[in-house]
Amino acid sequence: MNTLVELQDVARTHGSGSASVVAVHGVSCRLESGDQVAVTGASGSGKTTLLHLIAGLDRPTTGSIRWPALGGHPLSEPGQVGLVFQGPSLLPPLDAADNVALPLLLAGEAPRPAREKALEALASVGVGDLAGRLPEELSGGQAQRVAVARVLAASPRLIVADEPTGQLDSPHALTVIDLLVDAATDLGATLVVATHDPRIAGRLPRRWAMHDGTLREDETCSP
Amino acid sequence: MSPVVLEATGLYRFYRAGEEETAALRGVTLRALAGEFIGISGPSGSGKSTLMACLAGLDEPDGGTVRIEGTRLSHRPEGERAALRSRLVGVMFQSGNLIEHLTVRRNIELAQRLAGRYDPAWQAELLAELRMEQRADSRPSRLSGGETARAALAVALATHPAVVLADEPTGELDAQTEREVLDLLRDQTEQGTVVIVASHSAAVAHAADRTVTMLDGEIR
Amino acid sequence: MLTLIWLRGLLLHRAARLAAAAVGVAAAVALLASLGAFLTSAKSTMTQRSIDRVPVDWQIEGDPSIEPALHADRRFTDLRRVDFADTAGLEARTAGQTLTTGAGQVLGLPSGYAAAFPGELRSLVGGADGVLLAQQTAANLHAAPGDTVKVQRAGLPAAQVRVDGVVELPSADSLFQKVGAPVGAQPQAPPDNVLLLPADTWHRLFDPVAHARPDQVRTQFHARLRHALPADPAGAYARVSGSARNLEVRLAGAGRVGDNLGAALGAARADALYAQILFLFLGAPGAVLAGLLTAVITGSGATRRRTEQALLRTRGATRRTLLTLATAEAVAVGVVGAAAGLGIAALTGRLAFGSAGFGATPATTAYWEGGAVVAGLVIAVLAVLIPAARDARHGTVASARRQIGAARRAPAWLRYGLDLWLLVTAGAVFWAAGRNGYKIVLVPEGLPTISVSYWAFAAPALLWAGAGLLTWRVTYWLLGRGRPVVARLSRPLAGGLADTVAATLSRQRVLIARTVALAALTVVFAGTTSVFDATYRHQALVDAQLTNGADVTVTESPGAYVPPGEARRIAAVPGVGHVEPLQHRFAYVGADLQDLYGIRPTGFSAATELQDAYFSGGTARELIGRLARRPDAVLVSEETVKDFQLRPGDQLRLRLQDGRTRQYRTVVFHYAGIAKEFPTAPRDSFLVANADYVAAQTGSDTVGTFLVTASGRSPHELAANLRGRLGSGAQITDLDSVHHVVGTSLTAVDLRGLTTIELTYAVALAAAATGLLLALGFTERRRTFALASVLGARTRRLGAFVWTEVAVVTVGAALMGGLAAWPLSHMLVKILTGVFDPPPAGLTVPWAYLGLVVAIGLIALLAAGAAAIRAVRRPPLTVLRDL
Repeated sequence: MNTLVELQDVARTHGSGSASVVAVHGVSCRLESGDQVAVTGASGSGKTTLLHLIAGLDRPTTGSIRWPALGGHPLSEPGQVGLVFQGPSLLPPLDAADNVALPLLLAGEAPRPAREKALEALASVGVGDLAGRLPEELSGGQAQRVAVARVLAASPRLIVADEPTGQLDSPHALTVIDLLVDAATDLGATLVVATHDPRIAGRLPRRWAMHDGTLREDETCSP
Repeated sequence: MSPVVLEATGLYRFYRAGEEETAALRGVTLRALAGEFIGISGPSGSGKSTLMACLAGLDEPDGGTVRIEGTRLSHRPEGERAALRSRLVGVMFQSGNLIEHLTVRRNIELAQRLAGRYDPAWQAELLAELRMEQRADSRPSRLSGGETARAALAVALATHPAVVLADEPTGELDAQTEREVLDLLRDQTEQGTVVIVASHSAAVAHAADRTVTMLDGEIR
Repeated sequence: MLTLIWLRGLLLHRAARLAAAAVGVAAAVALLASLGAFLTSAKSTMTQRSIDRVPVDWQIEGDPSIEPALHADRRFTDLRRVDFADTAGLEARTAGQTLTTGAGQVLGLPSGYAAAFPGELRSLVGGADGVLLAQQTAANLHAAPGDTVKVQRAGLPAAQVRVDGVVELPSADSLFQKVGAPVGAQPQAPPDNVLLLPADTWHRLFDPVAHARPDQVRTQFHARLRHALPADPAGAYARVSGSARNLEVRLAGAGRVGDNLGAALGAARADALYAQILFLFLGAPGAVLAGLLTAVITGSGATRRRTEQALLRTRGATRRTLLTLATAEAVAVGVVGAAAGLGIAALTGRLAFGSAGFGATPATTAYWEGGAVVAGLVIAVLAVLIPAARDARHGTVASARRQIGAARRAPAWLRYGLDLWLLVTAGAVFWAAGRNGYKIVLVPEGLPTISVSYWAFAAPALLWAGAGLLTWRVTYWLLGRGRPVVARLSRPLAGGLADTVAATLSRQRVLIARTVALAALTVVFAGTTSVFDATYRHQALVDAQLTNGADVTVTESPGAYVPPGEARRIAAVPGVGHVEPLQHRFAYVGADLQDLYGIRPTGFSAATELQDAYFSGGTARELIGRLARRPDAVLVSEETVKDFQLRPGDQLRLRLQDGRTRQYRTVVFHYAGIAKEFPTAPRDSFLVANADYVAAQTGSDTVGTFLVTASGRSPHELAANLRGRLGSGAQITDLDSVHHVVGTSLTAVDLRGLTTIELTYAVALAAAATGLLLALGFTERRRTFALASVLGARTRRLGAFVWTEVAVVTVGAALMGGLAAWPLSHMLVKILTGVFDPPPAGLTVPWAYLGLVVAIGLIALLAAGAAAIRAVRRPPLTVLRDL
């Protein structure tokens, strides 16, 4: 196994002075290629900040993060990281297929093969018939499936999902999380999912719990 | 026997989208006694939100009536409905319950003034009860998720409503905060307020006196 | 209280958005207030100029016995008696030969008359008092100071006087007017021969005539009025003409008033109306544009507003409450904007004119400022209240909530082709106005009021609006149906993302079309304003040139022999470019004495600009060409053609004075064309012929005038230079001075102020319309950019989205704006043709200014693009957290 990301004594403070909030502190952890981890915790516990740090979207205030398997930084090359957010994350002006194809185009793929891959990915998550719809014409569950398809199509090494099912009801939520887990398994990608829902967390083999900005491995919560 | 506070009978609501007509409500009847905490569950698109809107007088049912404390809320001009709504109903949505450019305190005051019953004493009491005194002069964008939910509840309760209607009030909250909000809602029933919460969360079903399930516009 | 809470929250926490909307209102208010203040000051300048231009306010003609009554009248500051007598002719004996003239008039002037009414006489040779000969009479008699002239008297022997000087009578037309002539009567031509005598000499010579032949003499009282008049020419006109009628009534038929001041003010009030039209026409689009910008800025907050409205209604707010809150917001925006606008206007006034009020009185300034503030409030209400009212219409809160973020579809006007209808109507109205001769200022005969036919303005207004909407349609269509084309065109900027970029633009086409349309309208505004202004200024210059002849004109004293060779002496003076001799003679056309100008057809246009409008029946080049081809060709006035029934090639016999014998002899010319105007020529009839032919036929090549172009020096400086070198023998006038003196029309008013204001605002609006709108659009798409960035788009790739849009807006606005500005400028110049004197031959395009506008628009666009890209470079998650 090779190490995908390694955090050493990482802290992240938002704001400054008296208004500053310590979102994450003293976090050290490591993810190997193919790891699948759920990060649980109450709101404000620092889950989102931790995910942003892992995905390379944010920088630690102190401590260090390394991505040995990702050429130093996940954003050094397009397409290494796939992101799924809680809210709508599709680009409003693009239809579903264009949304899925966008990361491929950004990675330099030619338009035609990019579109073919996009349609494939949409079909694989069961929304192949929605390729021409605009985000505003999709329901929450459909939009989240398209977001998953967008991650799949780019074959990322790391998938980071922040409350991917927060706005879905239970049956839809479980479907989406299963799709993500299956996709990560197929791609051999590392998957990190933040959730406050124990049922969702239960679908992943490893669980970390965040509490007041600190992290502990939580194997007690069984599926 | 507690008196009936809310009474909805035979509610129908149709939506027209092009040539298709979908029935969001098909003859829903619901009755709530003073102090009752009712949960409404059901999958997305089952008609939960439409029912809540009709109960709150935000939407006009195509058929059936809604009465709160004996006063008919449905089938009235919007102006009259607005006046009744301001006094009888407190509404709480999943998000967007607060005017962004006003502080929490001003948001509560605004709701009271819209109902024509400004009550600083009750405002102070609410802020204390919901542990919002420290944040009373903050703008909504500065609040955490739990604080936002508590502020929204304070606004919903600002006018001593007979009924509090909450549509997915805890959808964006973690379990602990959700429990806290539900406890606060539960507290309101002690004075006879009716609380109706639409949610697909299991915790709501757990907290409610009874739960009705909606499916395809009907109560099952 | 509710409103106060709401407003306080807005002011504390939405200050930026309110300020942005207020900026639009401020721009409109500032534009209107400064234009209005300028207009009032321009009108008062016109009144003042009219007063200054009139040498004698009133000529009261009647029985001499009214004099005590007039002297007692307190409305006069100066009153002098002038006597007129007819004479059958004058006679002079010079160098052994006797020269006689036809009939003329002899005036008796009181001492000090020339000083009291300085505009009436201009001394050319000799003194300004004593016995004076009019210039033309002196030329006819070949008389100079010291010579003796015989005056014929009816029924008495001729009397002899010694000439003291030669004068010009610049206001001969009004001086010799027939007082009391009915309105619309043919103006009486001034007499060909005039002799001016001191009052006592006149009485000695003509009192006996008055006794025997009272019909041969008349008495006038020349008066100057107290000039405490309204600043507006129309008001001043009403006051003066009313006062004149009042005097006539009081004199009970014993005297009539020749109201020169009233006539001048009457002409000025038409000019004032034109100034008002200019204000309206050039200012209104600017204010409308500012209003549209405000609407777009407030419109960008539509989603927020709808959310708030829905929430307020949930809490029990009625529609009336919602409207009250929206009104409060509108008033806040309006008041803040209006205050800022007035501040900007005051600043503009101080910068452009050195005074906050543009020289207008405080009362009129306040009047205009009040109007501008009202306009600003109206804009604020329209931009803030109307959308709020529209949103508040929803029957239930649920339907209002569903409206939030609703899909945008093509606006109704687009589907009904409103733009095309506007353009068609504009064409039709323009055509109809053309049939009417573009008469927009109507001066009904015999009525004291004048009016403006405002509906002629519908044509440019409709064209402007139609062009804006058409731009919208074209952009909308191009980004929709023409998406593949856009994709192909954006490939150089976007590379492999071209299709995606095109798709994005296509989805945003309502927004982009709006931006392009507004930017194009600004381009049209800047373009037409500046073209109109440049054309106007050019024509003012042409007018001055027409009056003065050239940059500098050297007019030799009458009677002096000056050969063409003198041109070399003038050319030797530093700063002189080209020197062109222009013969000036008098010729009898039948019994009518006319000015004759002898030119060198080949070199003439090097010295002065000949516009096609000066001639009839051909272009300037063609007609001058006819002169060049045929030595005895002559250009005559339209009246002469009519009087003599001339057809091209017809023979025309003129009588010219022979340089050797001093006698008039017949010279044969051939009619070659019509000249309506000519540099230095009077407004009535004149002739233009070949100088060489005239010299050969009259035996004298003496030159009356030299037209001089300035090179590397201002005409004013050059004139001073020439005066120093040539001495006082010749009269030297320059364009700059004449520019300020000619006062026949609006040209008298320096429109530089008006244009400075307008052009500055056009630049500001261009920057705002392009940069601000684009920036707003990018803000709305911040989420798109942030998401794309999170998906791995580098700044360069995101740049493809930004720069393609910038390119679309730039090309669209420049192309459509330019395409619309061209016909609109033509239309505007045509419709406002009455402003121009002479009418322009073509449009003058101020390329430098337009270049500046384009550059500033581009800078604003690039700045907006760069700002968008910089915003994208922010760590994307801060943006995502904000959303």
